[in-house]
Amino acid sequence: MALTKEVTQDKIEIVGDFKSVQVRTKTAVMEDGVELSSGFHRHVVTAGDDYSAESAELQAICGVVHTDAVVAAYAAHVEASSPE
Amino acid sequence: MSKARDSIEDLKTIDANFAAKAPLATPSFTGNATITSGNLVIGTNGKGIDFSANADSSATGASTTSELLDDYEEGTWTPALKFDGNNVSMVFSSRQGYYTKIGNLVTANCYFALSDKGSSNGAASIFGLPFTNSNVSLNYSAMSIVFNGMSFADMVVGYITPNETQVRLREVTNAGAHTALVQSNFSNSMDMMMTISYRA
Repeated sequence: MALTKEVTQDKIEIVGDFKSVQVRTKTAVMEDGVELSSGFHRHVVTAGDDYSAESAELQAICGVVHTDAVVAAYAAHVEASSPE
Repeated sequence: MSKARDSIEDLKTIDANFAAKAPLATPSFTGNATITSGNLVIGTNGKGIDFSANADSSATGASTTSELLDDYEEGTWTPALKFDGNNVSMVFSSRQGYYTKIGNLVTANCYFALSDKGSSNGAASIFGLPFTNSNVSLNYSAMSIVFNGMSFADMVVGYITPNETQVRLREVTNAGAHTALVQSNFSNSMDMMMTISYRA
C-alpha cells in the first residue's frame, strides 16, 4: 500500500522551422507500482531560451537543435513579427 | 493413435495460421459498439477517428483539410508575463494555466497576479503557452482578456503569431493606432485572466 509520486518527461517533440522543443511532464500517483491517477504539464523551450535549468536530457537536445543559426533565425522571425 | 496425432497436428496448424492472421483482422460493426469497461486506445501516432463518411456541405469559401480526429490531451501550463522576453525581479503572487487540445486546436486559459512587476521593460507578452502555434500562412489568433491594475488607451488586445508561444499584448486607441503595452502600463499588483484558442 505504498503511495509514490513519479514525475517524468514522457513526451519531447521538436517542432517547426525554429526547432521549438515541446515538453510534456507527467506526474503520476502510484500505489505499489500501479498508476492511480496522473496529470500533464506542458512547456516549450524556444530557440534562444535559457535551458540551463532544464533536465539533462532536454539540455542535450536543445544543445543540438538550438544552433547559433537557428537562434539567430528565430530572433529575426520574432522581430519581423513584431509590429511597431 | 496415428489419426489422433494427425488431428492434433492439424489443429496446431490451424491455430498457428489463425494466430498469424489475427493481427490483420479488421472488425466491422453494424449498430453501436459499447466498451463496457476500459478505454478505446489508439495505439499508433497519427491515427484516430475518421469522420470522412460524413457528407458535410461546406460553406462558401471553406475547404476541408482533415476529417481525422487524431489527438486529445488536457493538462496545465505556467503563464509568465514578460517585457521584451524578460521579467527580472517580477514576483507572481499566484498563477495557473490550463489547456485542452482537440485535434490541432489548443484552447489555453490562465490567471496570474503580481505582487511586483520587476525591472524589465519593453513590449509585454504572456509566455509559456503549452504548444507552439503552427507555422502556416496567416495563422494568427486573438485572445479574450479581463484584468485589474492596468492603464491603457483605449482597448487592450492580444494575439499569437505563427511559430511562437507568446501572446503579444497591445493597446489600440479609438482612432485605431496600435502600440505595444509596456511595463508602465502595469501596476505592481495587477492581475489578469485570459483565454486563447489557436492552431498547433
